[in-house]
Order: sequence, then C-alpha cells, then structure tokens
Amino acid sequence: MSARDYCAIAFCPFILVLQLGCSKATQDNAEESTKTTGLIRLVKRPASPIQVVFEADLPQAVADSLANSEALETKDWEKVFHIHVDTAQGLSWRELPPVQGSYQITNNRLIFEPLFPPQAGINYHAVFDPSKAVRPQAGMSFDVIETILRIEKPKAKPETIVSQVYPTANSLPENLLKFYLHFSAPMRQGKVYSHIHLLNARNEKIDLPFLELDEELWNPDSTRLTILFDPGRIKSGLLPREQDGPVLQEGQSYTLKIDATWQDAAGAPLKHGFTDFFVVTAPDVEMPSPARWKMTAPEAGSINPMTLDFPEPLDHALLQRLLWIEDAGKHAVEGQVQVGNVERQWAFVPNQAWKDGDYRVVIGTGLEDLAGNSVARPFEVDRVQRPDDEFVPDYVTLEFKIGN
Amino acid sequence: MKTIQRSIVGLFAALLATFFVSPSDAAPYEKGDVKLQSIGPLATGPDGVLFISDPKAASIIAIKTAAKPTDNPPGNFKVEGLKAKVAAVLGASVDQVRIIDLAVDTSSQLAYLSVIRGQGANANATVVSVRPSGKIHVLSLKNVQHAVAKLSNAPADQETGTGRRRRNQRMESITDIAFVNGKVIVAGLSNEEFSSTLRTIPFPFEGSQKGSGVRIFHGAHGRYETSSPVRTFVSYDIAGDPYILAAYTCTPLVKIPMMELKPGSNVVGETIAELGNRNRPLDMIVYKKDGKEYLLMANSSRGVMKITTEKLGNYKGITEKVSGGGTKGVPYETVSDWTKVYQLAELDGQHALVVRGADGDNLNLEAVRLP
Repeated sequence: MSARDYCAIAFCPFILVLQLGCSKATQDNAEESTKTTGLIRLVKRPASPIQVVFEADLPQAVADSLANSEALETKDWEKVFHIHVDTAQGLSWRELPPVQGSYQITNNRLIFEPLFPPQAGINYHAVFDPSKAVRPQAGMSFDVIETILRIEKPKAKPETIVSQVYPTANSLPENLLKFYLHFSAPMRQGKVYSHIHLLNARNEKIDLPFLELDEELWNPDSTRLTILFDPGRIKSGLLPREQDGPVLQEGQSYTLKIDATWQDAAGAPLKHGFTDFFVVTAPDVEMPSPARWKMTAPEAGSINPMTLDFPEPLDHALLQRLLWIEDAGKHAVEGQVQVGNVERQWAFVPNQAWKDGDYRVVIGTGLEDLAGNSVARPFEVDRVQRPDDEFVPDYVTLEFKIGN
Repeated sequence: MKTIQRSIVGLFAALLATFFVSPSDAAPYEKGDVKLQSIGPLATGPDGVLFISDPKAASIIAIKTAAKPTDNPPGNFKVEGLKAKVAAVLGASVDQVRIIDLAVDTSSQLAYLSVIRGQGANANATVVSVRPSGKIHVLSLKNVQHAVAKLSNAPADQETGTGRRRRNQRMESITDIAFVNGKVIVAGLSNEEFSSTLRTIPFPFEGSQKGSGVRIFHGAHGRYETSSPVRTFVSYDIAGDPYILAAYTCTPLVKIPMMELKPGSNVVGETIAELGNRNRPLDMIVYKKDGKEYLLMANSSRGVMKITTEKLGNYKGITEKVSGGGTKGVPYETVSDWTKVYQLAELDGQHALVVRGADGDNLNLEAVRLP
C-alpha cells in the first residue's frame, strides 16, 4: 500500500527534535485528480524533557471537515492514527495492538501522546489514514501514510561496578543467610539470578544455592540486592537439606561470581565482573549478645566516634538501621554511622561535639549476625531444649557516660 | 491473586473485628489520581474492587472499577503472545516489561495484570486489563474512586528519630495478597531481617489504620522453629472455620487457622506437606468441583499439584523427619497436561485462567478446564 521511509532521529534531551519529510504518499492512485499528503513526526515537548509525542499534519480538507463535526473518541482516532511497536523479534507490528495514549488536534496537527514516553532504541510503525476520520468527497482521495520513527539510544558506556559485597569477611559460617550486593548505579531488575553464581573449590557451579524470589529484594534505589541462601537447605530437618545437604559446607572454600553481562538500569553491562573468595567455618548458632560488646566512649567536647566492637561480624544493613544513640532526654543524637573492621565494629560520629551527660545505645533486638541469629532469638529454636519463648523487648539498651 | 469469596461465619467475623478493627473513622472511597511508586501482587474483591499492592509506598490501594457483569461463555479466554501484546500497548519492547501478577474479576471476566515497564528511575508501574476477546487496556488511575491502606513497617522504623541517618534502605516485598472474609491479607518479605509478617487489613479501609502484623514461624517436625516468609497462600474452610494455606519460602506447605492471626502474636504454621528441593511454589487457588474442594498449586519444577482439601482437615501434619528423598505429607496428584504455568486465577466455576508459556517472553493467557 504505502511507501516507507526509515528515519532516525538523534535523541537529545534538551532540543526540540523534529523529523520531517520522512514519509511520502503512495502513488497507487495516479489517476486521481487531487492528492493529499501529510507528514508524521516525533516531537519532543519543550516543557518536559521526557514527553515525546507523535504528530501528523492533517490535510486541510480533513481539518476543515473535523472543525464542523463532533469530536471523535479515542477508539475512533486509533483507526485514523495508530502507532505500533515494530521490533525484529516475535510478532510483527501488524499482529500487535497499537500503543495506548491520548489524542488531540492543535493547529491542524493530530497529536498522539503515548501513555509512557517512547522507548529509545526501538522502531515505532506509525500509520496515518485520514479517510477513517472523514468521508472523502468526490474527486478527493486520502493516502494512507506509513512511516517508521525511532529515538536513537545513546550508547551506554559500561561504567557501573559491584562496589561492595557484604559480608566482607573471608571466612563465613556454614549457615550464612545472605549476601548484600552493592552497585555503583541503579541496576536492571528481573532475572537477576542468572548473573549470580556460587562456585566450589573446583570452580564448578553449585546448583540453585540461592532462594530465587521473583520479587527480587532490591533497595528503593535499585543499587543494593539482597540474596538469601535457600533457607530450606539451612534449616534442620527439612527435605531440601535432607536431600542435598547444606549449600555451604564447613572446611570448603567457595567463590561468589557476578557476571559482567548483568546490565544496569541504563542498559549497559557492568564495567567488569566481580568475584569474592571465602572459606566456610562451623555453623554459628549463638545469638549476638550486647553484654559482650566492647564500648569505647569519646571525650566530651570532641567529635570522636563512639565505638562498639563485636566479637563476631553482624549484618551490615541492620547495623545501620537498628543501632543508634540517645541522650538522657531520649532524643536520638544526630550523626553518621560507619561500619568497619569486617562488620565487627560500629562507629558513630556525631554532627556536633559530644556534651557531658548520660547516653545510651539503643539496639533493635531484630539485629542479626551473619547466620540470621538475632539479639531476640536464634535463627533456629530447638523447641525440645527451649520449649517456651522468653519475653524479649523490641529494644534493649547499653548505658554510657561522657564527661564527668 | 485470587478471588476468594467465602461465606462469613458470623461469630468468627465478630471476634476478629474486635481484634482488628477500630470502629470509628471508616473511610469511604475518595476520588482522585492514584500514583503508584511500584507494583506487586493484585487481588480482586466484591463489587469490582481491585486491590493493588505498592511495596515501595508500603500501601495497598483499593480501586473501585467500573467492571460490569458479562455473559462471556465459560472458558472462552485466550491471548497468545501475552507479554508481547502488553508490551505493545505500553509502547515498549518485550524485554522492558515484567508481568508481576494476575488477578481475575470473575463477575466481569476481566483479567488484571500488574506490570512494570522500564528500569531504574524510568520504570513505570501500571495495571492492564485483559478482556476475554484479547483486548488489552491500561487501567486508568486518573480521577478514580479509591482508598489507601498504609502498611506498618518494621517496628524499628517507627522509633528511629528523624534526620539521624542516611536514607532507609529497607523495603518489604509483598509476596502475595488476597481478599478473605472482608479482609485484605498481605504476606511480606523484608530485604534486611529474615522474618515474616502476615498483615490483616479490614476492608473498607479504616481512616488511619495500618495493617495488623502477625509473625509467622515454621516448626520443622515439632522441633526446630524458624521465621518463615510466606511465598504464596490461599484461604479455605475446614468444617466452617477459615484457614490460610501457605507455601513458605523454605518449601513446606502449612496450614494456619485464621483465628490465630491476632495482632502481635507469633503463629507457627503446621506442616502438611514438604515439597522437596529444586521446587518453588508459585501460585495457588482453591476451587470446588462435584461438591468437593480442591487446591491447585503451580510450582517451578513439579508442574501443577492438585490436593483434596477435605484431607487437609484431618491431616495431622508432619512431625517426623522425611528421609530417602521424594515428598512427604498430604497426598497430591500432578496435573500432567498443565505445564509451565506461572500464574493461576479462578475464572469461572469450571475454568482457571493461567499465564503459561514455553519461555519467559512468549507467554499465553488462557482458560483451562479445572481438573
């Protein structure tokens, strides 16, 4: 039916981008006395950097006719001007429903605004058929105009890296519960487990070591992913553990490997992959005990840190959230938390110099060690040995004094 | 995820109401725009209500849809290339679209899908509706009748003061929601502490009420007890008493009497089946056929399992170690011709609507006769 031209436009966030003259009318009806043509383009709205609309020039006869008729509904406009995703894979554009959006007419232009900003790097097949809007009068014909439009995707440079993996210790307990993977920029979500591998000492991949959750436990910024070891292989007596044993075994060494092919949110692969070697020690079944923490109080008038040293590494994320300092009036002291010494030390640097007085460290009893044992209860409670729960409050405190 | 409308046992409802509902401030719908920060599982309720979970905003939003009853013939529902078509309507390529969950309004035969388009800061959370004819529409959230229930976060978050620390990185994923006997039940899983909370929110939502949380545990063989996040669940009745049947992330299938879901309590689910390794429970529905009630559960590697729920009532649970491999617990059969099923929802009395496909990007949405 129609001639096609392929047109590419450079995508620049701050410049009005016009694509003109990429379409031409068909020449099928050369004997017709009147030809009416139009142009279709992608237009960036100056008001909003991400708002891009599809525009078609209405032939004057159509514009005149519509000015005198009642407004068409969206379902009618979809017949006049429809935009389809047109990719090389899977279904062709003709088999796919049109992109959903809204229509308006401004200055003899029919404007289609998609519900979501057009995606850079894919083709959109636009079809403009004015005859679906008005009945052609004698001696007049409208051509169907088709064109392919696209916003070029800026080449994404691989710059994102795995910035840190917690825990950082190179010896970890057999019943290690989780890893936190930190990235330097927001990452692509979906199918993450295909990029994360656990290798044994022979460099062989371990089958399904992690709990593969469709929900994917990301932080709000998509820069930190929590990976849980399959709890069915940690918990005593469950079938997965009975069948396959624990994932990590005491005395063995392992490598956590993250593929460089994992894409960030911008679509670029990681700058490089990541590996973390560790050896496995005996299971940790002890609950963290604040009574065994070493407290070092700073001097009054200084902004030196107040430090807590733990006999074992604790959960990096929970150390930031479930520990803080309050003054005698139970007001939280403002400042910065630094976790160091392979997560065995928590240091708190106040925004303002310490004043003389009584303070307390508040500890959320949900604070866990690397094996999910919290201050409140062990990861696994043996009900034969401990038939009833002791009451544990949500918070416990450690008192300390600054100055005289 | 499921439409579960069961008869309310009056006494039970009254009892629960005393635990969960503050009688004042019942908030009606308000009209306005709904802006989703993220999207998780969906559920349908009575009279065309659609419940949308927004994990980032820690909210459940009830939308009063304008869905009308339909005379679509039973079982007449098939959309091939579902993901490609949803992506097309959203103006995106298939690889930029993730289908999170399926829910069906049985009265109107409208299927709803929670969908995320794009990645990172440019990601958009949205709901699309799919008609039996295959017509796909983005559900408009502009100027709609809606009500919002905020979910309480972990207790620690409420008392940590302000401006003291860097931005909170904690987020609770919502693994499943369902509307059961006048309440929205929400299962969640934190990205930090390993714990499990089932929240119960009376509907219509109260003015400022947050969901009441119950900590869920699992006792292996009556001995080893751990926190156990719930992956998917359904409700069903045993002799008139409502129960939750939940699949834990560590694979056991457990039953929990709803009467035990009291705020602040710790509940230990009773193991009724162990599903074995290399198998993830994905979705469950309960349905009736020939006067009997059945449970269907989609799994990542064991196909769809069918269990007669009347056996669950008498089942005493697993209290001994399973040895020698295989599965143990309440007997089940595998529905052999239901393969690669990821999502399940009840469509009508005789059919389920399923999302299934040969691979992740080539999914179909189709009605299948209940076995």
